[in-house]
Amino acid sequence: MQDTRSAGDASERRLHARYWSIQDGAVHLIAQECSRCGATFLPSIAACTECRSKDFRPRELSRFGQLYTYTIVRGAGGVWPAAYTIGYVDFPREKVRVCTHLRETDPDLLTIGMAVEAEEAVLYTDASGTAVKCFRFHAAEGQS
Amino acid sequence: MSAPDVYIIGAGMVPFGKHQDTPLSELAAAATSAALRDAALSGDELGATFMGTQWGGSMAGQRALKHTGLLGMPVVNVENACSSGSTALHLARNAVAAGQYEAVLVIGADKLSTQSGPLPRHPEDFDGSLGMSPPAVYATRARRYMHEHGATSEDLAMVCVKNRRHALHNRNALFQAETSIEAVLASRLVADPLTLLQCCARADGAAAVVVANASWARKASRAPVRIRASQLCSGKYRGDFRDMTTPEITVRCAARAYQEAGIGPERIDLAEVHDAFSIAEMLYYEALGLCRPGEAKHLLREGATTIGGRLPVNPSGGLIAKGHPPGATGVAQVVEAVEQLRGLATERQVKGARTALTHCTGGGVSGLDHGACTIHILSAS
Repeated sequence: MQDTRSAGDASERRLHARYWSIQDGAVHLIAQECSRCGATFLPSIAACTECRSKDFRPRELSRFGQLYTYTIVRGAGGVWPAAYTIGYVDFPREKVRVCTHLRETDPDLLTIGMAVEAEEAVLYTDASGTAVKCFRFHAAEGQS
Repeated sequence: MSAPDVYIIGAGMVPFGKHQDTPLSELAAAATSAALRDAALSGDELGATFMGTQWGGSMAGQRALKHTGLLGMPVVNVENACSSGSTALHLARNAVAAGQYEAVLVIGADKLSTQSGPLPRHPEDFDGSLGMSPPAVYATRARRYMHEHGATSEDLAMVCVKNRRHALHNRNALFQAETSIEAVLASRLVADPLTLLQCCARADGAAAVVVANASWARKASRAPVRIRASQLCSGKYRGDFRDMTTPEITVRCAARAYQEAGIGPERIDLAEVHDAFSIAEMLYYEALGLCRPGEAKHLLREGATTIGGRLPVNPSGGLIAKGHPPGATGVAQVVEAVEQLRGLATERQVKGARTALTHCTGGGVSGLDHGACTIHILSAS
C-alpha cells in the first residue's frame, strides 16, 4: 500500500502509492477497471460488485473531477493538521467516486460541483517524522 | 406461517455518563440486575445471554455475568459497531422465536469516556486512512444535504435543542440541561457545518432487557412489550455515485421492518433514532419514511418531532443528549421505548404511545452507507 524512501535527512512515504503516479509533473490517478464489465473502483476490490469478475486492469482517471461534497475538519488531533479539507470527487466518465483531501481550507473557495484536479501533497507528518504524501485535489483553474 | 410472538418482559440500564472508576463488566452487571429486577426474575430461569459491545473487548458477556452468579448458560458476544447491542437483541429475538429458549438476556455496554476525539475506523479502511472520521462522514452528508434541500445550520441546531430539552427529565442522560440554537452554533467547529454540540459525546453506560416467549409474557410481573419487528441489514458496497443524503441501508431496513410489523410509518407513535450527529436525525426522518426527502426541516420547524408534537423523535434525548456508548445505545433505545409504552416515562411521556420504533445504524466502511442497521418496532400489549 505504501513505500518509504529517504531523501537526505528527511524521509517520506507515499500513501496509497498504487493509485497515483507523477508523469511530466502532473499527478495521474489510477483506478481498477473490471475487465469484463468496465465498472471502475478506487480503492481496489477483490471481485467486481457488478459482475463478480476477478479480472481487473488499471485505468487512468480523467484529469478533472467534480466535487460531490466536502468538509473542513478542525482540531482532529493525532497526526492531522489543525485544519484539513476532505471530501469526495466524482468522475462521471469512469463512474467512480474518490475520497480525497482538498488543498483549499477556506470555505469561500469551495463549491459543490466545482471542477477539481489532482496534485501531490504532504497530508501529515507521522510520529517518526516521516512526511506522508498522497494525491489530493484543488480547484481547477479555468474550469467551471 | 408467521413466527411466534416474542416479548420484552424486563428492561433496565445504568445512566450514561462518566463511570471512570467502574469497570465495564460491573456496568453491564448493574444493567443486568436492573432488567432482572424489572422482570421479577432471579436470572436462573434464562436460557442464554447475548452481549453487544464494540470496544468492551473479548468475553465481555462472561466478564459481566461473573458478577451476577448466572454463568454456565450459553453466552454470545456480538460486535456490530453502533448496532452491537441492537444486533444482540435481534439474535435474542430470533432464538426465542425459533423456540430454542423460552427467555434470554440481552446486554449492551461500552466505556469510552476516558478517551476523547472521534472513534477510529479500522486501520485497513481507505477513507479512514485519509481522516474521514465519523464527524467528517456526517459533515460531508450535511454539506450535500444542505446543498440539495436548502436546510440551514439553524435547522441542524434545532435537533440538538429539541433533544437536549427532551433529556431535561431523563436521569439516564449525560446532559440534563437545555441549550439554544445560538449556543449550539457558537460551540467550536469540528467539521463544518457541524459544531461540537452537534456531535454526540463519548460516554460510559450499559443497558439490558429480558426477551421471552408468549407464555412467559403472560405471567410477567409488569406489562410486557411485544417485538413486532426486528430487522438487521448490512450496507451495500458501491464504488460509484451513492446518494449520501439517502442512507439506502436504513431505507431498506425500514421497508423490511414495516413489512414484518404489518404497519407503515403513519402508525408509529414515537421513534428513537440514531442521532449520532444533528444531520443524522434529519436524514433518518426521511429514510424511515417519517417525511418525504427534503422535508425534515419542516418537521423540526413545526415542532412535530418534539414531545407533544404529532411524532416525537428521541424523547429520551437521543445520542446527542444521552451520550453514546455504542454497544449500549441500541439496547438503551429499547429501554426508553419500553418505559414509554408502559406509560411510565413521567415528564417525557408521549401521550397515548402504543407503538414505538428504534433505529440504530453505524460502522464506517469505505463505499458503504454504514456497516450495519437495526430497526425494532415495539407495541404495548
